[in-house]
Amino acid sequence: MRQPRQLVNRVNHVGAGEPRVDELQGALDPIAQNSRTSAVLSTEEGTGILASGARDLSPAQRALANEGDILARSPGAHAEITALEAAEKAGLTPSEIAVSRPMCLECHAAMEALCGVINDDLLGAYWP
Amino acid sequence: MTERLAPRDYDETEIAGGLATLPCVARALFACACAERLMAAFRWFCNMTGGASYKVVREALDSAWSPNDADPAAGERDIAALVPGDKEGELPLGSAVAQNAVASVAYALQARRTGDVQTAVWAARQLYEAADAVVQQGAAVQTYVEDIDQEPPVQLMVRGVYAALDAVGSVTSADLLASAWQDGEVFLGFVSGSASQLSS
Repeated sequence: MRQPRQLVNRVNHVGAGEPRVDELQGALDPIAQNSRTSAVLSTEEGTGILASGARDLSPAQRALANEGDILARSPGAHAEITALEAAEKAGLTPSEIAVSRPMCLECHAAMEALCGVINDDLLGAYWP
Repeated sequence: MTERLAPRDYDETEIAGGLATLPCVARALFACACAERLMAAFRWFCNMTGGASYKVVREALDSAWSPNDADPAAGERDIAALVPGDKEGELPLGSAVAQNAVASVAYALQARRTGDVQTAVWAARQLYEAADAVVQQGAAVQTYVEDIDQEPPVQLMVRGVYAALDAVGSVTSADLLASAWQDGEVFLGFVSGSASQLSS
């Protein structure tokens, strides 16, 4: 039986980006882990987009990129927005995003404006 | 003091290996020498932004340099709490370097307390990240400068890390401090120069 859309919204969609975002955040030192946000955006085309908030990806994080990944960079922007901007610039279609810290209201709104469904824990979103 | 003049790549495994052969007090002094290299840029950042945390961070690092100081001015958690997060709105220019500066002082305090090798390596990492942040300010949006190890700010900081590692067991803390202070002033030139280029 298909779940009503409202119930679909209530579950936490776990996708391929979640372990990768843990790895990305884990590449930071402990203080940075508490003060920065990492994001991994998967796309329908199969390209992964790695991003970090404000100061963007550190050298250790960039070293984790797989072949074909896009390293997003948008100084001052949140990780989620940085990743979405990179997807738009590359002409890619977002399929899911995983983030290391709960999304703020601004990022939440940006996802919903693109028809993304936000996980209850605010640690991700997907595009059904 | 023996300084390695040839450019070297930043290698945390090598740094950790070197630190492991040193006594705990030397590891702490190495972490202090790393943190000191970011203090001029942090002072500049606080002057630019009106930030009030320079004094407390400076005093904390001074206490970390003094192994006989039984009562540090601030604990590492107090200092780490001053690191600005990236969810606090758009951060002003130079804030990435400021993040690294404050974190390096927190790690120096922690290294002084624990003598832990990895903590001292994290202090060193702050220099590499700060230099990377300066280099990346010159990159276009959605691109990164790739070969950062060839960039002068990164070479300065990596050379400083290895110079401190080589010297820490054989020179006085005053000599380590003086060398780190000089590197910090040169690094400030990169930070402030990068800032003026972006604002013009």
